[in-house]
Amino acid sequence: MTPTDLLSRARLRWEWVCGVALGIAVVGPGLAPGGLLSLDLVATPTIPVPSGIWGVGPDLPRRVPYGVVVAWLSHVIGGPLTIKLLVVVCIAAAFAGAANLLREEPIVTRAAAGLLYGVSPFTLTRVGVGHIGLLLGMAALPWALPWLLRPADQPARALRWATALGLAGFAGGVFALALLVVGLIADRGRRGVATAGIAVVSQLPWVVPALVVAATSGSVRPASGFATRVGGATGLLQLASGHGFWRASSQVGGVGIGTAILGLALVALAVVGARKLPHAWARRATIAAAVGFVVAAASGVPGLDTLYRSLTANGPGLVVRESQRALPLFLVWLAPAAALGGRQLARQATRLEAALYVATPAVIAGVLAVPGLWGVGGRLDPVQFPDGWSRARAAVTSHPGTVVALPWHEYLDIGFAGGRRVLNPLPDYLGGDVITSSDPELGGSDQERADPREARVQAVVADLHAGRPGSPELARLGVRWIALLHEVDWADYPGLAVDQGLVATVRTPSIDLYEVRDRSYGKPSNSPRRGWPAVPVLVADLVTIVAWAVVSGRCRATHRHVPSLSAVKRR
Amino acid sequence: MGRLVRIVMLGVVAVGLMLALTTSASSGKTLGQASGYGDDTIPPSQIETATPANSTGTSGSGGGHATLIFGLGLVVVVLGGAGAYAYSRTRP
Repeated sequence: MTPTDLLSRARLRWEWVCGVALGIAVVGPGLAPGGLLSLDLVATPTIPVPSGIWGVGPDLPRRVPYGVVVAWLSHVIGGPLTIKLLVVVCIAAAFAGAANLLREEPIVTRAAAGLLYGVSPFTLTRVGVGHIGLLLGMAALPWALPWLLRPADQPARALRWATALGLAGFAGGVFALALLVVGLIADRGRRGVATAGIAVVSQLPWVVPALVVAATSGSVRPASGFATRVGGATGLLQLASGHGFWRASSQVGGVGIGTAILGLALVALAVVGARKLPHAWARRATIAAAVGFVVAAASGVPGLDTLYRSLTANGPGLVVRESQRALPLFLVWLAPAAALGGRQLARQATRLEAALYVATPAVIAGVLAVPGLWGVGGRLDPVQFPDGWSRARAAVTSHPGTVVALPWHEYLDIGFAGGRRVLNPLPDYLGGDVITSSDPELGGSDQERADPREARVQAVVADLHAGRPGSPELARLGVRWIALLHEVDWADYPGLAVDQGLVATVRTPSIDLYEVRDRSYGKPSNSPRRGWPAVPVLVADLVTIVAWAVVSGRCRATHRHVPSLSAVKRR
Repeated sequence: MGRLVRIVMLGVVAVGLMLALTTSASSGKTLGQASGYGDDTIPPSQIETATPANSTGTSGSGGGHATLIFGLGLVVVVLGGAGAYAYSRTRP
């Protein structure tokens, strides 16, 4: 293939070329060698298979099922590179997907749609905090949208894309379910059983583990306090521009009247352009967008917030307890509609004005994205794990056993990560069975892991704080190791120094590793990593895989006859 | 849509772009807490309420900047609108 051929192909696939370039521009310095640590973004040298995968805990099934692929890849190319590539691919797919929604329009309009969706403050914020499942869902959403909003027309394709969203876990699954419900209502129940079947089968890989964990664990106390930030007179407009993340310090971009004005401008453009969206899904996407926006705002709007909190405090509602996660349903409509709005206004204007109108959506997208480009404000700066960490991991690997991770915090500031607040990286870094705090310290003494041992270890931690030994109880729990990171309040465990039942195996400036001397009377009891729950999860995965394989064959067979849903006549 | 409305809209967008570009992100100033999922910075609302205590009688406060930026935005609106209108009048 000659360079000319390559250039021609690149032109044909310009959305993907631009999308990859954007992804690289976002990750920026993060592409250099080194791990990633930023809130929920924990990219260690190798990433273990998430313990929630088979529904046996102790983690709730959050990274399920995509976490399995991530874990496998991390063993081939390393955890950090896996995550970095994943982020670039997600941004590229989101950009190309939004541009693809307007495939009949000029390049400028399509690029504006891609920018507004692919690098919105919402997307960049989620990159910075490492919500990979949500990013995967966002990447698939614009591709899936036309098919899921008309499930009765092409059930096989609907199942295919619903499954793709379901593979992103609950974050993508919520999008699939919302779109299918809108489609089903708009179809007035036509092929209702088939659509319900699509919804169920496609989401089995994350729903069944969640149900199993819910049924078998009584010790989980979910946290609250994830309300969308829509305070003030301009809060809802800022939400429209992609702001409102519950953790203000993690939000990409400044909060203020400027973003509110840009949010208002985008909504105005979208209202003008919505009429020109592809007829096959325009009205349905508008309804889904309204639903997404209302849900996203509900947890932060006075009056609605109390009701929303009560609905999402427990049970199935937990998957949308952080309601801003529904915002992509709105953004995936806003982006193409606003881009079309600029073009629509340009039709009635002079040449200069026309150029301004066409460029406005892309310029707004660029200005909103600027604070998040090149490393998301330093959140993606690569980190080098201290040498002591690898020594500790080598010791644990050579003599495997349950580890207790100290300091006893689920999230803590990590010095060598620029002082960023991070989900305790030890469980991912060490792999295997690691008992750690799952209290996010949001004021409720919560426990977010289904691990019955956590409460007992917490009592041991209190003893260690008070200068009393804790090894006898740890031995009874079957704990072999204590790993103490030299971060935050690590010096407040005087009990470790006086405990004769502990042997300091590794002592470094960054981490200490103690081995519990006498485990003869202990046994690894109450370990949540075993049992029958794996069986229904395996069956559920099998059902989804078989269904997906069957419909993929059908989709391929009919591909030449159905080039796009735009050609499908409305019934 | 009326021509004037469209021009005003462009001006308002210009103001929004300026304000968005000049608004800094959250401060990143540590409150002292070093653990937990919750916010580790002073929320912008608290920063704003804390400012007036030191800004009495001065013009260098955050509010002063906001006024300046808003004023500049208004100038952009007026000049941009006038320029677009004048340009359109020169065309047949």
